[in-house]
Amino acid sequence: MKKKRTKMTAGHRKKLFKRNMEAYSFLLPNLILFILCSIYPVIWTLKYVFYQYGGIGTGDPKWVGLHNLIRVFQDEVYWQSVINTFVYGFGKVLIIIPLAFFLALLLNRQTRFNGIAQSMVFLPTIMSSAVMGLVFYLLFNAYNGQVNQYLMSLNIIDSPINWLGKEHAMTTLIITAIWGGVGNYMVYFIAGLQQVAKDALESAKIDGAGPVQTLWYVTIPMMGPILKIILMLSITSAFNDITNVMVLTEGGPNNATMVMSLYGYRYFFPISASEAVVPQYGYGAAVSVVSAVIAGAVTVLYLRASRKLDDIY
Amino acid sequence: MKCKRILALMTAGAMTAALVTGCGGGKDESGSTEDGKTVITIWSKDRHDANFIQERIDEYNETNTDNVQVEYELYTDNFEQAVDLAAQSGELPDILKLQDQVYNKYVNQGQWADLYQYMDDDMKEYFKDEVYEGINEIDGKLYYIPTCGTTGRLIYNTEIFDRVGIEAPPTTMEEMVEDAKLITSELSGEGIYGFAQHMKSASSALERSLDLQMERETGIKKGFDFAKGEYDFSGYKELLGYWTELLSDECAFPGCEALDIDPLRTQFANGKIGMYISWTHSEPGVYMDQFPMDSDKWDVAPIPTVSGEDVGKQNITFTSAYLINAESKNAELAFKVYKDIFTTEDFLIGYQEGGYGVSIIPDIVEKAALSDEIADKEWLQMQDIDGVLPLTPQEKNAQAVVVEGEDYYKTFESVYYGGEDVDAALADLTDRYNKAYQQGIEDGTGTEVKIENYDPMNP
Repeated sequence: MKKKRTKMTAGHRKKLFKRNMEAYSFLLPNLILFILCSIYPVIWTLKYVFYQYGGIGTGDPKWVGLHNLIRVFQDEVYWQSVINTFVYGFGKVLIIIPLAFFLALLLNRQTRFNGIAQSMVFLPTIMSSAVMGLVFYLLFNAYNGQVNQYLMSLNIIDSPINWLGKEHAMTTLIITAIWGGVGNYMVYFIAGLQQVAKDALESAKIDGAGPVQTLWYVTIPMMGPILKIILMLSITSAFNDITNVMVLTEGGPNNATMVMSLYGYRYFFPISASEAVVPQYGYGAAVSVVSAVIAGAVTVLYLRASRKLDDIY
Repeated sequence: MKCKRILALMTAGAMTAALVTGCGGGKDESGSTEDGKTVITIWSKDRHDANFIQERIDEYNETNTDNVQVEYELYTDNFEQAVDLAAQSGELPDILKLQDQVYNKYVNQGQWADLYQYMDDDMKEYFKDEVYEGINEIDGKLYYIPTCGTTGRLIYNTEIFDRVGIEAPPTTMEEMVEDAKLITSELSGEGIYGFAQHMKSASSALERSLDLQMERETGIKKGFDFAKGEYDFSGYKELLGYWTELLSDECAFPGCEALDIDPLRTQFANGKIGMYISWTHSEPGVYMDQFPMDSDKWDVAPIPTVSGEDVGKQNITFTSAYLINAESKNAELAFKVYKDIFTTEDFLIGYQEGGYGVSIIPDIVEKAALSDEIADKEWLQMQDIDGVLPLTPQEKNAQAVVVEGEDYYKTFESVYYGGEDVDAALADLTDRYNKAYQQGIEDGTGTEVKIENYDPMNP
């Protein structure tokens, strides 16, 4: 009896495999890409955390054990960059999410004007970050930037503000990031708003709810799950956003805008063509791993804290 | 149904095969064109002379009798990475434009051909003054011939100097700070400031200025004392003090901390900056073509030092030289191409006259007729204060001195912008650099560099 069952299971498996072979074969290209582009680099990075290595052509990697990780925890500039990342990330998220939601509410209705306005708000999202950085440099530079000129002509300030100086550079970066990303989140919110059940809105209207009450008690709660995803995306992207910083300030002045991803990056590649760096792949890998753990921890904490957003719906 | 399934499997198989083979498609790597010509490939990192060189190559391709087709390829922003990848896969071109990091990284691995084996006596004689033991000649092998070089100079606006009554460019840092303050205090109302430097990238700004000042002031190059055979940053204190003043609001152009070199140049060309420090090879071309400026309105002078006295020469960085790939199957032919295109007197004179580089070959300097715009600016040419200095341990092999923490450029930034205690910062730098240097020697990646009776005036 036992023998028969085994035979049947094997045969069943074989049949199942045959039936699924088509599906597996379609999965294969993606699987290979996933292994090559996602799994392999992660393993590579984890491996080099324990080595000192200067890259191709610099000789064999040298085993250094936990030295790189210990160094990360003793590196003051790195921890400053972690603080900067939180300031940048939360500064961006706290402004961009309400703003994008407000714009989505404003431009949700399908009219010709709204279509044009949506495109205009979305346009910066498809612009190259490098170009965006240069444009913002022209707008914000201290000597002839348009922003200072407008503020002075409106008598809001007496003398030019050094927007890219140590005191204001982070604010300028956050403004740039908001301008570049708000359109994207607005589109997510519009998609979310259009998913809100019409009968629920109609019921609220019949019950005598005004627009603000409908928004607060029906629309926002029903958007809970999508809000949760949008917030998560905005937090993770803020933690990995380096092009903006790279083009506008290169992490300066004096590391005032250095964020943790860029700090790790500079141990692999020069931030700009004119920068002289000695590549330290091992230390860069250690910085990247610690940064990933920090970003992961923040995401997990957020997911735990935001569980209610799922429940409401 | 079965046919459909087979077709689907074949499609999936083909997709997977395409993925596995990656970018396998491409040109024939046989090294020859369809009409049987041998292809010699040259890689360059420089855009500024690309048109001039392409013209010469086109001319060579049309006229050469060796049945050679030269292909010229530019890798401006990622030259080092491109070379690394090509070296790894054995696909380096036949000829490469010199880039110091690339040269130093691969010279001990036998990647570059010894030019002596191909050079005839005439060529050896012609370029004998361009041979620097320990730099381009190692263990009796010559790896490249530098024909142009660059060094740093003070670039100043003569009109602004005249307006505030400065009769001559400053020779000491004290004078420089005074002049910068004077210009800023008198003309900032018109948007004109005394001094600017592109401090967005500390290394880019300071390697053309502060590094050279220290070489002349103390004979120390990039923190390394060749006589003592160790790093010593203690001598930078006074100079950093002056830099802190120069970059203060009393002297500096607003927003220097986020300034790139090209925006700085546009403002200099607009007459908004009294002086700044930059390379000799780049600025003439910039003010002739990129941001046109009347040649009478700007001039060039030696970079001021703290004492005004020279203890050592300031380094010349080579800007035009070529390496031959020793592993190229056409290495000898590549050398012939290199010799026929890049080492002829006609080419070298044309390069100098065109303003693409500053020749370090006295014969060429003498014969080249410089344009009127720069002919009177004598400090654009190499002078007695300039020399070719030995390589520091980190220049010889970057991986031999892997410094933990910020490099000295970034550390200096924390002094002049961050207000960090200068004594503590310099002591820490000396410790960290020497520790890394000793570690490199212990690991066998570096060697001890100490020059007995080193004379910085005759390096």
